[in-house]
Amino acid sequence: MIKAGQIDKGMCLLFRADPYLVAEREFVNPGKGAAFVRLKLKNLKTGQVLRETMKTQEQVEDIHVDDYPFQYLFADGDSYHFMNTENYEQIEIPMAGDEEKQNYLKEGETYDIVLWDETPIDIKIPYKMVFVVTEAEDAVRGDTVTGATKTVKVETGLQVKVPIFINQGDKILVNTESNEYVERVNT
Amino acid sequence: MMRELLKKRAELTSLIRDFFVEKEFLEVDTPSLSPALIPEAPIEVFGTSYIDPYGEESEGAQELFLIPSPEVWMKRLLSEGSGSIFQLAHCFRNAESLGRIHNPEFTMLEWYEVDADYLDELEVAEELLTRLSQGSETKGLCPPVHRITVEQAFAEYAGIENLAGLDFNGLFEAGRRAGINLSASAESYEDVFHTILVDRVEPALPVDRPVALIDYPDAVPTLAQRKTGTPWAERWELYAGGVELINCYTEERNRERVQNFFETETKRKTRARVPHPPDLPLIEEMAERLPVCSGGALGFDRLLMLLSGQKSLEGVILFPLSAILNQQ
Repeated sequence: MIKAGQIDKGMCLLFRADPYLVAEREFVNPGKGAAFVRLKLKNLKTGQVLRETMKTQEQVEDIHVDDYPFQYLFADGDSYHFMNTENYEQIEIPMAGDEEKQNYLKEGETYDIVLWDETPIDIKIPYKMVFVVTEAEDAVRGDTVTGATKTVKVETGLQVKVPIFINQGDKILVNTESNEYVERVNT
Repeated sequence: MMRELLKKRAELTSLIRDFFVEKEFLEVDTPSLSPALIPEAPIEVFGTSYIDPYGEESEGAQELFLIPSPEVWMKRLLSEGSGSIFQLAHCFRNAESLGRIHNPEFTMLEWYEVDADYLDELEVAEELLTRLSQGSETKGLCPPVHRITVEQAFAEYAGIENLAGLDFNGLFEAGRRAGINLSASAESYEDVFHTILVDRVEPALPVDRPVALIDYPDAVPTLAQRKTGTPWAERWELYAGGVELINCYTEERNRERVQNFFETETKRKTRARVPHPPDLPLIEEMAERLPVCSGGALGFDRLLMLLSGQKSLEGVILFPLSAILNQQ
């Protein structure tokens, strides 16, 4: 247990029986009142965001979470299936609320999974990832406007806006937060 | 960059001086040290000591405290017949976080007008903001000031009606029904009140103009006079850009009420990290000699932050404590 005044951004808390990540924290001292901390908490199971105000003297339960590498196997409609690369143990992570993660999960690729007491609560998607373009229309001949783009599909189904010189089979680096094309990869 | 900031601070200082001098307030300059303070349970202070160069070592040192506001000294001046006064004072509050809207050492504009009440001072504050916000694009600072009573604000922003009729239990229940987490905050009326204020009301206040929350519950202990025949204290707080900027009272002069305040706050102060003696002689001053007056306290650094479009006090305080400590 810690005092709410010790909460920092990036910490994890157990609040109303659910694990939360502290996304924002601000101290407020009303001129004539006790000290408070205003929090923005992200539920690590559902992704739901919660705003909470606590007195800094209040006790809260901080929890320890750890990242472990797991290999992504497949999704079955309800869950993502991963395998611990050291002991081959398999885990399932519910897709509910996290469906868009599918766009970044490549079979056979290793991802960091956030575990709390052996319960997987989050899949960490690398900030930038390489994808193979699986569907792309040919550039329209004569369309040489600088900065012209087209939309392609990569192997996970994700759609990305790319410059018109990108072809099917090319490898591209994508920013996974903004879904923006970064560059073509030549390996 | 540094030069720019120095200029801005100096300009704002002289604008404020001109404003109050024109209104025939006298500028004063009171000590930063005091052997005793007004007991205010939520405020932690800085303690230090005076060493008598000729004293025996065994005698120990005289405890002194850095003022959390110049009130103890300014009220003494008023009692001695100073007339209306103002000051830009360095104030010190311990055990506060460092960052966006707090720095343990900060500059406060404190003013007292004699023969005036809190609503007169709201006019003064509005005039002051009109003057200071000229040429500024910060809408949150530009009058007219939107006036709303605390009771209206609780109804509108927290869904809690009839604040006047709610005691500790009533307010606690109403807060819980509104979905506010009060589990560990239920020690006193003012705890519940402030939790709701911080959780629901403050974040919902309009930020495109200054807002004055008027008439606080008298059950929140302060040295503000009670509004006759009502459960309210003659107090307002002005928010600009969502930040608490000015606090103002009609100053309490009733002996019994001043004494009560000192007693309850001294009791609650027993949990303080830095205990200090209560300034008991001030009770006598306030009950016997303090003229009818109203005082306002404005966070100078917060004002400059808003005027210059900065996001944090760290952008307007020359040497913020966070930076000082990082250099060590």
